[in-house]
Amino acid sequence: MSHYAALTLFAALVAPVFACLMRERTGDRLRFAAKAFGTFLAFAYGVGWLMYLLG
Amino acid sequence: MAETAGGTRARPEGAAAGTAARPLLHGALALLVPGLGHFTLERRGTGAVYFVCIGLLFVLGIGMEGELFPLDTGAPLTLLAGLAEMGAGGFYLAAALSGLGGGEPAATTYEYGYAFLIAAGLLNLLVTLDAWDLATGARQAAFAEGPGEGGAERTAEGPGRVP
Repeated sequence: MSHYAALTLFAALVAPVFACLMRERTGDRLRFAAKAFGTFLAFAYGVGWLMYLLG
Repeated sequence: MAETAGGTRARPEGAAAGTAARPLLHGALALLVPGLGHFTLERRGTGAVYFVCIGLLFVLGIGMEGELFPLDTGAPLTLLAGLAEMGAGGFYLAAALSGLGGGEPAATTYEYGYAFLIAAGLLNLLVTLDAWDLATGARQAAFAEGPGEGGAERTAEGPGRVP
């Protein structure tokens, strides 16, 4: 399993849990989960590029 | 608890009726099986999301050769990782009793595996606290007058929120 696949899987499983904990309504939860998932991936890309450029 | 206009405190809708045993019971159920505490509190969809997500995290962690760390008091980080993994409750017990989770440090997915296991345990501890809050009525109160999106956002300063 690649690092990218693992982090995508991790984000996909953690984001819905945070969404259910932090929001009450279904629509809000879906939006929160999508944002959290995207943020996980965006940070991974950001940190990945940072390490590439600094390394 | 929600504050009424007259200053008295009313039980929030959906709060557990009464005894201190109910939060304990639902908290224990949530700790034992992720989502079970919510399921028994009539939040079946939410309980199912917790069960599937946390269960998959744990099962994938074991499948990736992740390790169930021993409670080694001589190695603080190992101890903390072990305690975090124990948060997965029934999944942890089942894996430990089945002899799974020995971990294979040489495997390329070893680090991913134990990260998944630790995340599953920590998330279930959060879910357990949420089931407790739900049973006491604190969650309903926290969402009742939250600032965002029509009160649908959790706030730490909701009425009745224990500091």
